[in-house]
Amino acid sequence: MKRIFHIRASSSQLGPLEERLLAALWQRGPATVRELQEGKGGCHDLAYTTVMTTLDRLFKKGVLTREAEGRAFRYAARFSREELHREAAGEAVRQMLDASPASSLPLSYLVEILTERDAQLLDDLGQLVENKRRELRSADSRNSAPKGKDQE
Amino acid sequence: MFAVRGIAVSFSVFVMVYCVLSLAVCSVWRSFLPHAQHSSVRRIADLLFALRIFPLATAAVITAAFTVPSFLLLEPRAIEEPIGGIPLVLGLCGAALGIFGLLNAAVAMRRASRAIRGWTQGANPIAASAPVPVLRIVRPVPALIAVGIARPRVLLSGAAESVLSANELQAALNHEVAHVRRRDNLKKLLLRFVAFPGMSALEAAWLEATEMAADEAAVWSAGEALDLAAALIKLSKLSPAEPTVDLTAALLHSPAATVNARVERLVAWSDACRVPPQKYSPWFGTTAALATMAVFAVTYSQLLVHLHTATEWLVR
Repeated sequence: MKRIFHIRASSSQLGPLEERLLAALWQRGPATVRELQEGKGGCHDLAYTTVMTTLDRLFKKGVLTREAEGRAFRYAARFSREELHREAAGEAVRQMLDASPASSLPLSYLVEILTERDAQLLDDLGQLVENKRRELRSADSRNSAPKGKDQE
Repeated sequence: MFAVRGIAVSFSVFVMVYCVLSLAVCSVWRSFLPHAQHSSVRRIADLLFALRIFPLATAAVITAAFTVPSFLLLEPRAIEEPIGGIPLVLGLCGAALGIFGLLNAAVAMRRASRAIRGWTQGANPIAASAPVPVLRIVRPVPALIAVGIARPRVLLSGAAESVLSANELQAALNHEVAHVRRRDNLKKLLLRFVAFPGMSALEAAWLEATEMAADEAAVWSAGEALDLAAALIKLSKLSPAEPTVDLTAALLHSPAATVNARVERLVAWSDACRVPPQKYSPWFGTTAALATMAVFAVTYSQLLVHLHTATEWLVR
């Protein structure tokens, strides 16, 4: 969620407070400002106006939808967590493709990054296996040492 | 006309049961997993396969054991009853479903045999401690793969053989032998036959579980688990992920990110993880069979009458 995403061209990066309120809405479903502030696991530490203005900002960014309910609004997340991540990744790739004159170049960067990441992952896994092997060997030698002493 | 009506009714019942059960399985299979999370991965794989095959098996049993006998025994042959539009359409759908399944399975078999023919050109048998023939292939990919249904073999590339230590190679071969023993390629063929939209997530979960079940069956100690993990890592580095070929079981067929889960699982392996093959008492099976027979002996004729009434309603 730290990455930049654009639901609309004018929207910008989500701040920590925006992320927190969005996560609260994902967790509890549609809610009013009051419910978010007072409900179970809510944002008790935030002032009413802070929650209200943050939700309004998220609505204007196109991340939330809202419906009038009396004199207040009931806010709901427009996208699920997965959809938002997909949208963010898609937007990042679209921006990268738009920024490059040759369309094949960014794709090759992507493949390169994925390959590097895979290679790094495999190295990390190899290290994990080696560490475990060493652990097993030292456990074996610890187990065999007292036996040797007993035999002596 | 009697025979055509019988076929139409049988196919109609088959297609209705099959589609309803398939839709039910599509929507509820995930809810079975939390109950099975304490079971071995082999059991989970078996459960997922059983769920996947359940609609076909049940529809086939109901059609063969109830629909056809009820029609043959209770339908008067002398009356020239016309076939209604609904059973005709459903019957055609059932026939189309069967033909599609057969074609799908045939295409998969053709693709697999073509790929295997290509891989085994110039292959030599090698001496390996495995209960199935192991062939060394000339091509670098696939690195290690179990192929064949009636005549299973394991194919090993020269590059994979040279890069793995003796213990790693043995652990990797054990993994492939586990696929052969569990008849995973035959199960994949069955899945081709019962293709149904919306089942891909269940099939993917089953495939993942079969890989982990084969990993589990291939190792007997923490050391062997590490050998298999090392083999997975080395072969992942050796060649990129190979595209999956129908009806084969490659040691590696997914990118490094998904190998991650298998390696971490193997690294966390302890002797306590070794699940001995479950031995069921023959009494369980005998008792269940006798109980089923007793229930059918008492209710079979009633069931046939009820089913015939229902099919009569369907025909009209």
